[in-house]
Amino acid sequence: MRELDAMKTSLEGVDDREFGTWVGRTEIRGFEGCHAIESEDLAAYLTELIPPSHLEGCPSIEFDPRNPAFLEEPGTLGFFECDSHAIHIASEDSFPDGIEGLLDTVTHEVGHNTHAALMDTSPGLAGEWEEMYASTLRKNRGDDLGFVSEYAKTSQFEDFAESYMTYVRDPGTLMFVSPEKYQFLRDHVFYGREY
Amino acid sequence: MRRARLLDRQRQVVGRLSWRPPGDVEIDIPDPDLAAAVEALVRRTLESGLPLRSGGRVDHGEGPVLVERSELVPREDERFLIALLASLNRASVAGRRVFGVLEPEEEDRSAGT
Repeated sequence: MRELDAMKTSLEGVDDREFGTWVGRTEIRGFEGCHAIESEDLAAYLTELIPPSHLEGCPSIEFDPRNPAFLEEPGTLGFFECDSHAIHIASEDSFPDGIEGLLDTVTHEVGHNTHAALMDTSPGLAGEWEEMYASTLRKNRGDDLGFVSEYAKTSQFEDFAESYMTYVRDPGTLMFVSPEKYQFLRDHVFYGREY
Repeated sequence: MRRARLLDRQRQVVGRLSWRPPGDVEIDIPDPDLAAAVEALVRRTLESGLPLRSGGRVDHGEGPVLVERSELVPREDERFLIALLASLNRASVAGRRVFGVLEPEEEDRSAGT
């Protein structure tokens, strides 16, 4: 009992956000301030849909609407820090599609983390993706198929993140626009898992 | 002017869309149910505009970040058709999936528009 009292005393004044929810070694935090989804629900989403290895190296996914990046540039939905691999998510008001848009962005950012890991651990496969992006871009001059969005055309990094998000959230679209990328993600990134 | 084809899952053309300044959208879809559904979506969004996602790498003081953004594209914006296709591509329309494919601008020019 004394130990419990001592523990309560030691916790006084500590910000609740320090007690986030964890998926593997990734802390899901701050979503208590989000009206669209709570940390536990986002953790459940990630646990159910995302292979655990795709979060490796990502220390946190944080609901972070007061981050200067969001305040200075309205319309910013989220960002992935290339050095630390931390993911930051904007206010739910920023998402025109509500909770679905927020989950799209979280999944897109996790896609960046997965791509970064692929480049570190499997440079051959990462090179294959880069070549697939470049060849799609060349072919794309005559048609619009091959990319899941205009955004995906902007770089191999965004192509990976957009294709990753679409593989998880709307696989039929990826299969339609690029069976080649669908197959790459299924075989080399999701270890055969399909949605 | 921007043009797009609507394809079904078998990659058959099921219709065409075009956007021209100052913000007119033309719909040419033979299937009446599909046409009505697309027209309803276009009517709704002509007033409100449509969200379009974008982003990229940004270098700021604390290191590089990959940023994702969204902006509301009004009908007057030449990217309106791109935003419209993005909406169509994520939804079932009249109970079916169709995929919008933007035609290259070169084709637009050769078409004499």
